[in-house]
Amino acid sequence: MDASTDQIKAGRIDTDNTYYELYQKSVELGTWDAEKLMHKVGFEEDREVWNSLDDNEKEQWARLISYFIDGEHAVAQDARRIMKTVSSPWFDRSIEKEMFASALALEEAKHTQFFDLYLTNVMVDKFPQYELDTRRGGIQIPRTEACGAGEMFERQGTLQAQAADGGDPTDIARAATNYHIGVEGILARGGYFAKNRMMQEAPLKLLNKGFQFISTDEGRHITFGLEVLNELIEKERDGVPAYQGVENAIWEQAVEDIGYITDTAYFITESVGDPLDVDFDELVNRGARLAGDMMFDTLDLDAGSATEFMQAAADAMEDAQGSDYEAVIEKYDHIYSAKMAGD
Amino acid sequence: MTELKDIEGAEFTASDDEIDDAIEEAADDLGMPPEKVEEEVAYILDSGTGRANNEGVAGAAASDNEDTNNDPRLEALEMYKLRQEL
Ligand SMILES: [Fe+2]
Ligand SMILES: [Fe+2]
Repeated sequence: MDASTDQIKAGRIDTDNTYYELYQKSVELGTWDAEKLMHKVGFEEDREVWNSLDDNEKEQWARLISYFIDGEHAVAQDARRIMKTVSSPWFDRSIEKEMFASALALEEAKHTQFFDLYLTNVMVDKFPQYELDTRRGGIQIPRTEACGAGEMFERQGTLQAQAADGGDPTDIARAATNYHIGVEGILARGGYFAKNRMMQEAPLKLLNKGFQFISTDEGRHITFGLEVLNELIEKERDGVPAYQGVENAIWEQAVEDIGYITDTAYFITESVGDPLDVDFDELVNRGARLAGDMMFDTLDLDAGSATEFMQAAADAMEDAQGSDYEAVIEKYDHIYSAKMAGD
Repeated sequence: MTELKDIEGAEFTASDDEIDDAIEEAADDLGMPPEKVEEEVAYILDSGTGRANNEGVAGAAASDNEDTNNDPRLEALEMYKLRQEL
């Protein structure tokens, strides 16, 4: 066992670099084994709690977990693009960034694995359809397709492809904002807020442990994303021509994303009657505050303002009110069934 | 990296002594230096940012989870101990 905390001297790797610190912490904290976690905690208690829930409570969990499994799968797929983007000439081509991006890729794959195992072994009665891989001719789970999250993940793929395939710094800023601020920083963290509340009445122990490991990994991904955005912003502020427009791109993307996120928040709360007491208003407020911290505290963005962002969230809340997802879910149910039958 | 006791943004219910004792005990069990355990627990909570923004572990950090008496630092320590078994 390593009994020392002393830094070991390195050669070509800059161990003082923040990206190195993030990478090293991923090795120390992010290499948990999802299968071992399942064996260690076991499914029994979760199954018991799950079976005691009424259908509406199960539906609320299923809405949350649908967007988590599809979201983790989507970010895992796009991780390869992040590896490519951070090694582009728009950055300093430091190996430390690439080292961290490779850890992120592994972690996102593992998060997908965790939800796949959990769904299969505990929640499967609410998921007749979840097994298809979107890359192998499938679609997202009908619940995901029906709400803002589904749209957001598709948008993420487009933005990440644009950034990785010869995109300029504003393309990279949009992609990083959507992925690290929107999906990881608000949509996922809002999900943790929701699960904390839902766990009060429906304590799914193994699921909670998984969420704890996952959210710890996500914390590093978000720190990484903000670091990357900060590099782009600094170049813009230094007046480097190719980086002009970065701050504006971040702001515009964040405003676009709060629409998808708020719709998702409504979908997992009020639209299903919120049986496990998450509270739609408080959820959106929490998300908007997290976003405000990232954009106006950490990044000190000049474009937009926290007040304008809160307004955008409030507008999105009004748009979401009364949305009916049932018909859309049903439509995607049929499409999914057809795809499963091999059409 | 931020020191565990300097982390902001969470409601800490345990005293610093309680935290020290818990870290000491865990370090002993794990055969690790307490400083390293403390560093890992801090990083679980703040991901290097100085703020306890890990919603998934520190539910109480957002002061939303009134029913959780657990100090987020102790919650993170529990998680770290489990992580060492995985
Ligand atoms: Fe993830
Ligand atoms: Fe992530």
